Amino acid sequence: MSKSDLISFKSAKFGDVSIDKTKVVTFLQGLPGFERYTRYGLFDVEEETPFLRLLCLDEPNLGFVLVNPVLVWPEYKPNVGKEEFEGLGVDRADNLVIYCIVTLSKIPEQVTANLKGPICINAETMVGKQMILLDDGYNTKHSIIEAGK
Amino acid sequence: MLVLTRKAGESIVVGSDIRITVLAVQGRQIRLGIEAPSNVSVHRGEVYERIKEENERAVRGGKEELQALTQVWKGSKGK
Repeated sequence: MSKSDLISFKSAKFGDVSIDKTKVVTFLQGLPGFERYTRYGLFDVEEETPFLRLLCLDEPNLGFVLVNPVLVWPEYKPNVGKEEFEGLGVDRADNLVIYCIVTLSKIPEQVTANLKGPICINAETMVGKQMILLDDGYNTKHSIIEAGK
Repeated sequence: MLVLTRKAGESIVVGSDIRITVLAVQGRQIRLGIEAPSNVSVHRGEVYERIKEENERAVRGGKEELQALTQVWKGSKGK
C-alpha cells in the first residue's frame, strides 16, 4: 500500500490516526445531531468481537462505537425503504452493509445498541446514511451482553 | 412560524420540489402525504429526536468502557 492511500487525522481518544482511503465512509447528510460532519474512518476494534470504531476525520472529539448487529442479533432485519436504499445507490437493501451505534456504559451489561437507527453503507461507494426505521419492533436501546448470552 | 389552514385534499409546496398534502382529517388525527426528492429525509418528529438524543449519548463513551465491554463479550463467547 502506498502512502498516498492513507489519510491521517487526529482523534482526542486515540491521538494521531491514519486510515486507508477505502475505509472512509461519507455521510452526505451527516448523522442526526452531527449534521456538519460527513467524513468518518471505520476501524475494527479487535478480532473476535463484533465492535468497530467510527471516528470523525474532521473533529477529534467526535467518534462512535459500532456493532455488527448480525453477530449479536442474527435475526435482525431492518426494513430499509426502497427510496432509502436506492438513495445510497444499491438496488436491494441486502446489498447494504449495516452497523448499529453503541451507547457505552461503565457497566458492560448496560451497554446498548440502537437498532432503530442503523448505519447503512454502500460498500462499493462507501457512502452511508443513518436510517430511521418505521418498524416498531426495534428501539434505540437493546442490551448487547443480554442478547449475546 | 408560517401558519396555513388547509382542508383535506389541499397541499402545501415547500421550495420547488417538496409537496405536503393533507390526505384525510379524522378526529384528532391528520394523514399527510409527503413528496420530496430522495436526498431529503422525512421523519416523524419524535422519532428523529430520539435517534438524535441517542447519538449524542453515544459519543460520550470512553476507551475503558469499550475495553470492559469487549472483555465481557469475549468471556461470554469463550464458554
